[in-house]
Amino acid sequence: MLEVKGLTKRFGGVVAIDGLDMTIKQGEIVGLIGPNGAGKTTLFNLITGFLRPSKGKILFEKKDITGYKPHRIAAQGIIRTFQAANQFPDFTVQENIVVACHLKPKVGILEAMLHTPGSRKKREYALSRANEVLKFTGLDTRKDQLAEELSSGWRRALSVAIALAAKPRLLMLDEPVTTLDPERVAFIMNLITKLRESGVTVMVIEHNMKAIMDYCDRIVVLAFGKKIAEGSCEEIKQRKDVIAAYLGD
Amino acid sequence: MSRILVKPLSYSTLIIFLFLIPLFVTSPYLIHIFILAGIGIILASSLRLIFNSGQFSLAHGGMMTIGAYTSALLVMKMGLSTWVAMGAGAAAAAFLALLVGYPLVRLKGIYFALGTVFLEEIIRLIAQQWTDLTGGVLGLTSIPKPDPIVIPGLLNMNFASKVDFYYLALVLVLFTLLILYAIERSSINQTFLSIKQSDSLAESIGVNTTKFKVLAFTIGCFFAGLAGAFYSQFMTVVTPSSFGFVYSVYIIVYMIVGGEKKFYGPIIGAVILTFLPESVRMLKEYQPYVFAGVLMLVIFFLPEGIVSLPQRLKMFIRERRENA
Repeated sequence: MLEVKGLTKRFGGVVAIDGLDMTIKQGEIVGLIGPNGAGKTTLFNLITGFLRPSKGKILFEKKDITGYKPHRIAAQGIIRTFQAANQFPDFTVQENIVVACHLKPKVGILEAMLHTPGSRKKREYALSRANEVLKFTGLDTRKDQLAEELSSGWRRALSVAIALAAKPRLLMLDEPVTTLDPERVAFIMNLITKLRESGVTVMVIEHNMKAIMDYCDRIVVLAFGKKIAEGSCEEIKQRKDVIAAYLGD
Repeated sequence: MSRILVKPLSYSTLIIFLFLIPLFVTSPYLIHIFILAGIGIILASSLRLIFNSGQFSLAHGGMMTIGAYTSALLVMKMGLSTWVAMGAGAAAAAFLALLVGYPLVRLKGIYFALGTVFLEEIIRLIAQQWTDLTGGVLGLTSIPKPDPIVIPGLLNMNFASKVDFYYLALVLVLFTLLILYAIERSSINQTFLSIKQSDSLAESIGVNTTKFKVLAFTIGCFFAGLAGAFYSQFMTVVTPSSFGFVYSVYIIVYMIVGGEKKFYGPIIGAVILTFLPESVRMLKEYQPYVFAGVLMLVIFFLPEGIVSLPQRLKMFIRERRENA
């Protein structure tokens, strides 16, 4: 589904991502782990167009999307979340999700201004889809609360819900459960598993090793911008160099 | 009476009332102030549209200059109808906004605001230096008044009195507010507000943030151009410093003092701050200080503007009652 070929990103003299090759298959949940500064978030930024690669190619379903603007990549079906600032704080939970639903199908600027029957139909569709997402994520009980008033657990759920509303085919989550309590971790990870069942491919950066081991099909390990290991959870657990990279020698 | 009818009815009553004002306000001076308030409403409300998309523009005065000069020159040098020229003035400002918008919106936050300050200075300097065309520092004088509108037996507006201008201003204000309100009620407004709150999150769910920011800037500047064109035909004089940097700041003050979160906030701000300096002669001389003072008071005590006053009072009274 996603193919990364020889991807390189330099910031001045620092090489953040160094000739990375990677493939993600349809329907997988792939964990991306590595020590801080390994280049995980940089890799996300490169794939989703927030950064331009210095070298290399990104193919999504065999289409070259290297150098696309973020909104165009989102339109292809790659939706990402951020570590921080991942909600619209002044919107209610429902508005947060509705705004993401409005983009597919797209409402034209003039038709929205004139409130044409077509735009009204799309609006109703967006609202009903938003309701589905609210139910799916369990956020329907809090739909009228402002996003900034939510607890951090619900806020993370909202992040996933916003991304979900944007109809992802590849969902890229940046630390969705870091700092959450075990109950919340299970809640969000189960949500992600349910999503996969509905056909969404998932790539997740996470430091919570238990969550990664329990829920991922495959793990990719980054260190110093390079892929140092790749494989099933069992394989990764056996790798001495991974443990060394994480814990120091 | 059903609740759905209350709003349209009260709006139409208000509009009819506004149309009747010249019947009992006969002082040309007061009518003049009403017209200035109308210009203020157009400017502050259209600035709010730009602000809603997360951008702080200080180029509104510059865009007025563009509208005023374009409209005046088209009438004076090319003999166009004043009505066509007025539309062209607004369109010229919108076109310029569209052109400079694309590079400008790449700047974010305070850097965008600084960019618009430079834009305004450039516009002012061009108006000042291109003497052959613009008349330099002295500006353009004896700009023709709007062409008369005559519908035999019904309407005869020749713009000899200020009352005719009052009606024109009222129609322009209603036109502006109608369009801005249509945007406010649509899903586009939600998209603008999402960009304002988090640019990158909006982009990540597929919003072409550049396009929407340019759109807000262009529509906002269209109305600034319209206000400028109207102003030039109303005052018949326009100079490069008619709407300078300070003027742009005033427009922002209108918006913030009124309360930029509500649609009617800038309207209330513009009306109050136009009438306040006129109400006491002494205040007029110290207008910048008065505005600065009002702005600071509002920021300290009513951070959401004058429109939040009723709600604040209600809360205050309830608290007093509970404590008693």
